[in-house]
Amino acid sequence: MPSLHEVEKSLSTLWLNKDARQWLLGSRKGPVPEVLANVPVEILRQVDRKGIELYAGLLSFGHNDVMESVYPFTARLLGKKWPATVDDYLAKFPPEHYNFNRLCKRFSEYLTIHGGSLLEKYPFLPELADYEWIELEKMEEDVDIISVPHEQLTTTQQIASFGPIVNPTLSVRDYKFDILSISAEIEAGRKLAKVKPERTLVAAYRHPKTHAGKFAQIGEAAAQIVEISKSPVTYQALLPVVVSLTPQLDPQESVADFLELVEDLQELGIFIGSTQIGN
Amino acid sequence: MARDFLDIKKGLPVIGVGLGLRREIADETFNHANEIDWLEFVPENYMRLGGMAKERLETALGQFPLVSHGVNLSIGSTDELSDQYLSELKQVLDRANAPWWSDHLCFTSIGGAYMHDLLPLPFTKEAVRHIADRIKRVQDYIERPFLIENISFYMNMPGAEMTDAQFMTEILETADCGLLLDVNNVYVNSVNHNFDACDYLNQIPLDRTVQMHVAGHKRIGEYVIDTHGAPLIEPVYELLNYVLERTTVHGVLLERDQNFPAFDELVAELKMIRAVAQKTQPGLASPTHRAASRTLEPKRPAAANSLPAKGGRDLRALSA
Repeated sequence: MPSLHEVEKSLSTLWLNKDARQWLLGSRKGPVPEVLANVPVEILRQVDRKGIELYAGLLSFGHNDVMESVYPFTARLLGKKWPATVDDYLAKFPPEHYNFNRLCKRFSEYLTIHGGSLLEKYPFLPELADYEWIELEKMEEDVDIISVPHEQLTTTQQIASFGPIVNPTLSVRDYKFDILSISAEIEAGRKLAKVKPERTLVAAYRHPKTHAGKFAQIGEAAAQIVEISKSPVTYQALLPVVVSLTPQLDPQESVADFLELVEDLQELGIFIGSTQIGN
Repeated sequence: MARDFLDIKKGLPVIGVGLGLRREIADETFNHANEIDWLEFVPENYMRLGGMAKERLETALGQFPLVSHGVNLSIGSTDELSDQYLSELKQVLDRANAPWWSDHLCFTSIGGAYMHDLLPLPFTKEAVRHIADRIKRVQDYIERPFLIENISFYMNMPGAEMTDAQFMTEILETADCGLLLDVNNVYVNSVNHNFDACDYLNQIPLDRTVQMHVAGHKRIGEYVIDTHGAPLIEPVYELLNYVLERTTVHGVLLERDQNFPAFDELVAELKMIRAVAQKTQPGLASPTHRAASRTLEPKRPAAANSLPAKGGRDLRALSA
C-alpha cells in the first residue's frame, strides 16, 4: 500500500504537472513521464481521474488569479502567453512561503533568467514585473512609519540643526527603461511602440497616512540626497552634495531648488519629518 | 496541554455569532459592530505584515473578540512542521489573544513547496497517527486550544482504510483536540459523495465541536463547490440546527470570502443564524460579552483612501 508521503507526492505531481496529467488522463501511450517514474503503480491505477482534473483546475485558477492581480500590466501585455508563462514560472520557482502573495515575488527574476523570446520583444519586462511587485511589497512591509513634525526651512539655524527622516519603506529603483510611462501606456490600452532604453530613477515606498504603495520619478540629485539621508545628516551637510550635482546652476539657485525639493519630498511622504541632529 | 480537551472546552468563552474579517468589507464590518459578536481572521494575511493589514487587525482587536483560522499549517503534510510558520503564528495569536485557533484537516505543501489550496488526505491509519502526533505538537507549542476543521473534498484519495467520518473521529480522539465543524462542507461532501449529512454528523464526536462554520456554495458542472461566495441555503441552516440540538457550541461563523453582496444581506444572514441558535442555545445567540456592550456603536467614516485590490483573496475560492 502506498505510504502517506507517496500519495501526497504523487497526487501533487499530477495536480501541478500538465504533461504528467495529460499522459495519465490520455491514452498513456509512450513511456511513463520521468516525473511519474517513482509513483506507485497502485496510485496510477486507482487514481480518481476527474478529481485530478478538478484539483488541477482549482490550483491553476488560484495561482493565475493572484499572479494577475499582482501583475495586471504584465498579464495584459503578454495576453495569450500569460497562462503558460505563469505555469512555467511556478514550475521553476515553486512557492516556498506560507503567504499566498509571496508566490508572486520572484517573477522578475524568472523573466530575467527564462524570459527568452519575450525579452526580445519586451526587453523591459523584468523591470515592469519588478515595478508591479514592489508596490505590494511596500504596502505589506513589516515596518511602522512614524512621522514627526516638519517645519518649512526658513532659517539658517533650522538648516544647520535639523535633518530629514527618510520613510523606512523607501527603495530607489534604477531602471534602464521608463517603466512609469510604459505602464501608463499599457494601462491606457495603447499599443507600445518599440521601446528604447531610458534610464529612470523611481522612488518606491508606502505612504505614511494612506498605506498605499507609491511611486515617484526622481532625479539623480534627489536619489543621492535620499540615500545619504538614511543616516542622520543635517540639511546643511546635504547642501554641498546638491551644489556639486548641479554645476550648471548658480549655487544660490541650487540651494533654493534644494529647499523646494525638501518640501516636495516631505509632501510626498518620502521624507516623514525632520529631527534635530547632534546637540 | 495536559488536560482533557472536553474539560478545556468547558472553560472556553461563548463568543456568539461572528463574521470573517475580510479586506473587501472591513470598513462595513467595523461600522456594523452592533450586529456582529466576533471576527475570525486568517493569520497568514497578518503574520509579519505591516501597513493596512496591521492597521486592520488592530482596529478589529479594539472592537471584537478575535479568533484565528489558518490555511497553511499543512497539518497533514509529510514535510516537517515549519518552525518559522509556528513562531510567527504564535506571535499573531498572542497579539490577538485568541481563545482558540484552528486550521484544516488537509495538506497544503509537499517537498517544501506550498500549493496554496486545501488538499484532501487519504483516510488511512498512517495518516491518523501522523496527523494526531503533529496536532499534539502544535497544540503544545502554541499553548492555546486547537480545532481541526473538516474540509470539502472533490476526490477520494487512494488507499482508504476507513470512511471520512471514521477518519475525523480517530484524529480528534487520538490527538485530543477540538473540532471546527463546517456544516456547509458536510452538505457539499454529502452531495458530491452521495451520503446522508446527518449520518455523518451522528458518527463524529460532536461534543468536541467548539466552533462552527456556515457558508454558501455553487454548483459548477457536476460538482457542488464550497465557494464561500453565495447565500446560505436552507439545508445548511438545518444542519446548523441539528448540531446545536446535540452539543454546546461556543461560536458560529458566517463565512463569506468573495462575491460580496450588500452588507445588509450579510447582516440578515447573521440574524438568521442567531434565530436558529436562539431555539436551543440562547447564550450563543446573545453572548454576555456583547449583550453588555450592545449599545449603538459610533459609525467610523469609510476609509478615505480605499486601496486598489492587489494580491490574493484572503482565502482561495473558486469563482466561475
